[in-house]
Amino acid sequence: MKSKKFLLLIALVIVLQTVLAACSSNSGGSEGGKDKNANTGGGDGKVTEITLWHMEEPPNRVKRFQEITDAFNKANPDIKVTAQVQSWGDAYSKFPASIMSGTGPDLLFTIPDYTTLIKELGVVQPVDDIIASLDSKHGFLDTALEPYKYEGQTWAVPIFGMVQVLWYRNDLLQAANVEPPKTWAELKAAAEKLTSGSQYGIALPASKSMATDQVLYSFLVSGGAKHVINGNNEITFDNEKTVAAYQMYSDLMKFSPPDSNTYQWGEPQALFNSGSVAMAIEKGQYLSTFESESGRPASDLGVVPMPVGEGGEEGSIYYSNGIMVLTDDAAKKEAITKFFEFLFEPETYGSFVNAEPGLFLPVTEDGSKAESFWNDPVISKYKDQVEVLIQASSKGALFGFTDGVATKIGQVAGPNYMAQTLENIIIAGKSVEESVKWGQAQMETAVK
Amino acid sequence: MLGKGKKFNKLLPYLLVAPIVIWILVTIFVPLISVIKESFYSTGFIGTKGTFVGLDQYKATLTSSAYWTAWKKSLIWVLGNGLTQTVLAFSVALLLNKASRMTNFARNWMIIPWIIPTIVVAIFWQWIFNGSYGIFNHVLQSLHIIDKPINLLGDSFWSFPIVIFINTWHWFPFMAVIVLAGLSTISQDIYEAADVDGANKWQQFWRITFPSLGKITFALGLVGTLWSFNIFDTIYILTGGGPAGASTTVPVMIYQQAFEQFKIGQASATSIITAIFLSIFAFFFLKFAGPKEE
Repeated sequence: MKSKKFLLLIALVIVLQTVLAACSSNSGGSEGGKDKNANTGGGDGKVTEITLWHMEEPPNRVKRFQEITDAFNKANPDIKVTAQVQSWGDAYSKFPASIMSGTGPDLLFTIPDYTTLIKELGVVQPVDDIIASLDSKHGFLDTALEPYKYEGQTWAVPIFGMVQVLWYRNDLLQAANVEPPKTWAELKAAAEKLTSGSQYGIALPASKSMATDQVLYSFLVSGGAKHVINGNNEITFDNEKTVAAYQMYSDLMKFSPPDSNTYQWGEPQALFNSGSVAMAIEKGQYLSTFESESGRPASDLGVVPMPVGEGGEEGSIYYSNGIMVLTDDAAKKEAITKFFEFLFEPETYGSFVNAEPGLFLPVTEDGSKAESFWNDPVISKYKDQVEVLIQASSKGALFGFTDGVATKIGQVAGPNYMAQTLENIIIAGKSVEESVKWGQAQMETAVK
Repeated sequence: MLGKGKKFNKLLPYLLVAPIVIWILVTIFVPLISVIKESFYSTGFIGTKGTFVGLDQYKATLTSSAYWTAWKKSLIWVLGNGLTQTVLAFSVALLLNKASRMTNFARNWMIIPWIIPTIVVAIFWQWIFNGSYGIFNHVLQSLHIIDKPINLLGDSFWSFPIVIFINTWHWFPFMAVIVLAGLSTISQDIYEAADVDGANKWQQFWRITFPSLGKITFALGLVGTLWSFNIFDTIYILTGGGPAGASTTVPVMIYQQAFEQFKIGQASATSIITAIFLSIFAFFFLKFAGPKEE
């Protein structure tokens, strides 16, 4: 009997454990399992805890962000900001569930089209007060701030920008006696001349990916077709200038390696550094690895703004990454304001932006001049190239944020309809006009 | 006391299995009910609230040419994998069904492809077939078989057969191990008797080996088909369903609807319809393809 009682006891314990485990996860849900008392700061000696999720996974970025939050926490003993690394791969599938179940962060890194999606959850807090204060002290770039301003409020604090330019191998262009191109016609001629033997003139991504979307959009901007969708969520993609931009891209594909339709971010850069291609259109990540991967001096890395098409305008894709505030707790909001003030101080901000030198660009006027930014070894070595990037930032544009703010841009960007339109041309063999029409129809269905 | 003891004896097994039964019910039925509910709502981005649309999304899926194209790809996927894996698994299992040093060694090492994580398999095959650096193109070019690199994973004709090949390479050892286990249960006496009767190896395979593995092939046929149909990771990592939709099977399409097009409601309806079709298949398979008892 004793053994039976013992077994019964074990069974009861297991059942109770199961029930209690379920209950405990529910009770912690609203505050993500955190001690609620820990979130009430102020003058009562308690620490206000702020959780920040960022999706910058490379170790150098993780380390730098950690250093920044550690410095802030040290300077503010009543606040503790905890930076947690997440993945962009989970941002669309897992984050919303976490946020809705109360286990999400207080601060979340974002990009403009992701903000429009997360805002639909009804948890994103306006940050106009923070922006007004920071703007008066540091001066935000309009191109960085505008994509987060709609419905009469600002929904994220821009923290760094990224812009595309045309990178070229100085050594290869000089050997072929080619000048850096300024127009589409010059770009095409240069790509053709630089294609010989196992070398290709340019590496362009053509897979169904965001990488392809972005390079394509640089062609749309420089070809005068930047308004893909307007503020009423009406698609304005199918027009002559878009057709011309796709025609140009398809023409250039002849001078891009044959496996370009599997490329995303990394492949063009690897080929560029190996000398297999002479040009590539990308953001500033080329600076930090050029010398070590190519074995060539820094002077061989050339850069010019995106070449301009006939009837087009100077410019390329530019977008700022930002931070959304997801908590409405007053004490936390106060702590978050302090955190942003700390982050944007020029001596801190340059160091923060240089978590990835060249790729992350300052979004404030004093940040662009800060010693902490220019003193970085990579930035100081490639000063001329960085100045081109900063100049290009002021002429950048982002699809969905050029003709008012399209709140449904996420539905167009998510399925990569711009890249799929290109696939229709280069893989399915459809005409450019037919493919652009197809793209328009897909985008219209997506935003319905 | 005796009455209490009897009650206790009756109750104890239920109490012991209760936690796991509750856990299974919760993890299966809560998500299932949630998906069924979402399929009637026009929910977009995960976490947002949609409006009730009745059967509209079911109609949209059933009348969508993209859905039936994805089904065609899924059928090719299941048949392609099923045939190649069955042939390879039987061949390898028959070869290794002999006791020798070599076969013992091979038995241990042949499962390597199966134990490698899918992400690793996908990445190294991507590198092998890479158009710029891949060893595959390098070898073909070195042997002067091709002049320029072939972009197999980016080719609308070749990408899908290549993904089938990679998945077969990854999974056939599992099937081979199961078949090998089945072969080891067949008594050698039967083969010796067949030898005495003058049966050749081909006749022995079809009259002894294959029928003896009936229960195993039946189980593999059912589980393997459903398993294979639902494979998403290998395809998505290797091609993302491309190029230009060339490898978009039904699971890939459902993922794209949910997490690229942000149509959770539509994806839920597509999932339910697909689950119904698969259940019908399982029903008929169980009814008609089961091993016949003699």
